[in-house]
Amino acid sequence: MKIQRSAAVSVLVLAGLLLASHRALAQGDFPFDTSKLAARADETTTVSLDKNMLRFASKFLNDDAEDRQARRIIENLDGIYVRTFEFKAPGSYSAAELETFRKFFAGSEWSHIVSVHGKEADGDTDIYVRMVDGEVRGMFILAAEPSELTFVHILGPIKPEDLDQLSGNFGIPKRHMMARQPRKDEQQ
Amino acid sequence: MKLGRRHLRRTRFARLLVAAIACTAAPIWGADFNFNHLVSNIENRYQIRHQHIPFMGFASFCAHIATGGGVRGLHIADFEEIGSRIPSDDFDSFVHSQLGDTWSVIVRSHERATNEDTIIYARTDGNRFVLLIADLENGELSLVKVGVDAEHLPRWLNDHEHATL
Repeated sequence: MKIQRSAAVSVLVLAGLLLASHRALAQGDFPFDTSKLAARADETTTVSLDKNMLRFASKFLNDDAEDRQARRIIENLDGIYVRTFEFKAPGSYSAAELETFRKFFAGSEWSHIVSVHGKEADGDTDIYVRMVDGEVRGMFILAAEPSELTFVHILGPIKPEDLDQLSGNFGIPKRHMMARQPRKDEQQ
Repeated sequence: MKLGRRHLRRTRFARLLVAAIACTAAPIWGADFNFNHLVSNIENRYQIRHQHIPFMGFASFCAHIATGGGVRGLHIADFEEIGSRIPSDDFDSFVHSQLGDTWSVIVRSHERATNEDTIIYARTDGNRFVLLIADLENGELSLVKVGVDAEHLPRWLNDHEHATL
């Protein structure tokens, strides 16, 4: 039974690393502490892929145009770190908690480029980019659904449009590349 | 004199033979030994015993053949009815210390309802990805080690994808 489960886990991992990369995740390298969320979550998953792992994972990509593009992006990245927290019931985290995380990116070298605040069931998505000498050197995605929170930290040079290639792979949520809708605080 | 030279030649040949066997056998025995060594150290630390899985070598061979050489070195160690749960933090730091710095944790998962922890360690080995998957639950522990080839497996996946399309 256990072996079957282990085999299933293996298959899941391989699926994530190989089949996912067919089109084209550590405690460190995360900008804030998520231990309180982890203590309340029903399921916590962290994915940590450093530069070495990403370079290697890129070898599993195909030679078609789409995968070549994805390979180019991945090879230049320094790391992808994903944390997902699943809760049994909606309302397990507060808006104030989210705001605390968002504040980390205020007034620093981070720029808020995408903010989608959908209806309750749709959840919110925020994308921040880290600018160094006029170039994007990192990206942070905060995807909040009523009973699930996902944080993605991408280190290294990446353009917002590159997300399309990575979306759905390496634990990065599929739906986050949406039209820019400035937050209220940005409009003021 | 003649005898001495022949003896010297034989000795050199013997040394070369031993060196050659050592070189070719080292990766095979090294991979097996590491896993067995880890299992043995886990047994000693937590005073538990793993269960023997018959035909494991054959299963590994089948996986290797079935994936066109994409998967190799499949090892599984299953510990059942190990009594009280092994603390995941302690287990993680112990396993990591055994594996060394060349390994990194790529996936870590915890499920509260079942109190199940899954930790996946990975390292690159030439053109291979070596994964060690540890699944820790109340009274049970499973360890799976598998090597994935960067060249063969994608090709095999492609072939099978095309075959099914």
